[in-house]
Amino acid sequence: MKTSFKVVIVGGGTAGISVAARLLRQSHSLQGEIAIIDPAQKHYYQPLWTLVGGGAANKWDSEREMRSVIPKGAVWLKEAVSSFDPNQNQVLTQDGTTYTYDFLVVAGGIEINWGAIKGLKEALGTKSVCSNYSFKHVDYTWETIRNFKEGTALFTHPNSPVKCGGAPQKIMHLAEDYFNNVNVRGNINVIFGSANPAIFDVLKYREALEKVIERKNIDARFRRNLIEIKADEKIAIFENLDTGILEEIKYDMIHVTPYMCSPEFIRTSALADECGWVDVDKFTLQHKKYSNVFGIGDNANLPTSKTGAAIRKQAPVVAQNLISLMRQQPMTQMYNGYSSCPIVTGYNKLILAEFDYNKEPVESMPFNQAVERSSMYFMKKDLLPVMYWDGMLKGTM
Amino acid sequence: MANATVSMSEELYQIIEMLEKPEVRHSLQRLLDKLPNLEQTIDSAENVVDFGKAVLTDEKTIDRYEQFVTTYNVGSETITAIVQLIEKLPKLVQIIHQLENIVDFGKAVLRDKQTTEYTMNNLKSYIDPYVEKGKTGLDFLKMVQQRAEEKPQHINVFSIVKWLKDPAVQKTLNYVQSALDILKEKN
Repeated sequence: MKTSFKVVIVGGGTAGISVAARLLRQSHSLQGEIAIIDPAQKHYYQPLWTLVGGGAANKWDSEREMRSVIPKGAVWLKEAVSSFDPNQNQVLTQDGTTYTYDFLVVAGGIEINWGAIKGLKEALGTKSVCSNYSFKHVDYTWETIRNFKEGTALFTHPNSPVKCGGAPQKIMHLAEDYFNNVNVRGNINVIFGSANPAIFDVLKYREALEKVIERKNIDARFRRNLIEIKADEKIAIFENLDTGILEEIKYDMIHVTPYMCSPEFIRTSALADECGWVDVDKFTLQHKKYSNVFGIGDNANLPTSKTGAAIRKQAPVVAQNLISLMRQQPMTQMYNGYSSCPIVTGYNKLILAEFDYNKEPVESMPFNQAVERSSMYFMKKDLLPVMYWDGMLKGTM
Repeated sequence: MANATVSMSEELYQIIEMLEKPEVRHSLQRLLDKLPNLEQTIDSAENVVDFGKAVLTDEKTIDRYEQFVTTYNVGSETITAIVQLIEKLPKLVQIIHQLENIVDFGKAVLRDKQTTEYTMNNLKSYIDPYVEKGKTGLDFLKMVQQRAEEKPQHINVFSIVKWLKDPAVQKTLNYVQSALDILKEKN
């Protein structure tokens, strides 16, 4: 069995597959020389889960066999990484195999910590406790919303980085829109409990979303961090992050965004910074200490939103800079922190937020993207999945 | 005569003196070694030169190639274009790269059954409401046709007066009246 590769990519998610596809397109000599290490049998297009939770998409459309997305020419190693030895250019797996590399790309994603909010793990998928962040339970979100007739609908955002920072409020907007469509909105109090200080980081979109919140009569409470759910009593306990005081909210349904962190095998490795993320240069994406190592996607310590759209701009930078290093040329590609969040504000309505490291809008469309548009909703629902499966994962977009 | 002999002896002496130097002797020895190869090389060069000369004097061949070249629109403009093309190559490569990506994306979409199915399902969900509306309209027309054929009725002035009282007719006539009013105002 081959255990030495020119390039080892840890993680077969969006970032890992995109980089592998791009490297193989750029240099055919890498065929058979790129290994992707990932034990998962399935690959998910997670942005669709918002729509699944809102009853606007089928969850099975978000799932594909991992083998179908592994680029031709890459070697898929169905193993889980246990540790790194960057000084020896080695990756160790849980099976006990040691793989050596010339170049390493760490694309291990982000880990969901279901146990961080007391009572969540046990209650998820029952007693009106739902979350779009679980493929297994995403259907339950729609079931809960569809059957909800009156009371308090509570939506939360945790005090940790999350994948797609807009997702916690997207499902709230869809639910609110659905309650309106079935004429039960008058009986329902919608509350958004978020650990963030505002509805969105980027001023332009924050102002637009504040108007949406006001129009929809949503009770938005910021700097509130969910720490416990008492599912039997239907009580959510929040910590006020400014005062430290605990506050209880009685709910009738709750959508929870769980805590997330860097995967354990990364945060305990020599590649991690003090917060556990892969410590890379924010422009070149090269590791700050190990020059033959790159970090990309959710597991990198980049000061921008962790989204698939961000990876779309990071992948060409990593691929090109890695090829430059291979050719002993200077690295020329720079990542500007681009990230995007298509914020669904209802069925057929969407604000397309695009921004960079400076939290300045970087808009692709020739119109004001802070306006809710049905064209952008159409793009998210019908075009982005196609661009993902057949463009991004093939290294062409 | 005697002077000439003296001069020759001096020259001979100088040559002998040079030949006595070890480095000269060594060079001569190497030259002699390479002489067969040199001869071959000179022969080859001579052949090339002779061939060139022959081609240049062969008017028929020159005419033929001139005619061949003139059938193409190759001139100073072409040379300038080649230079310009080389100059633009970096940009062209970028454009070609983008085109290649678009073509490959298109191919991937067409080959991807799951994507095709997903897109078709979504399209169907957009089209279905219109198809349904069309079907309802068609059903209405069929019912009208069927009723008219089954129950032929005698229509008189009173029937028409009765129609005028129908809200659906009143609504339509209201639109007609409004249109006439606006036309009157504009004129």
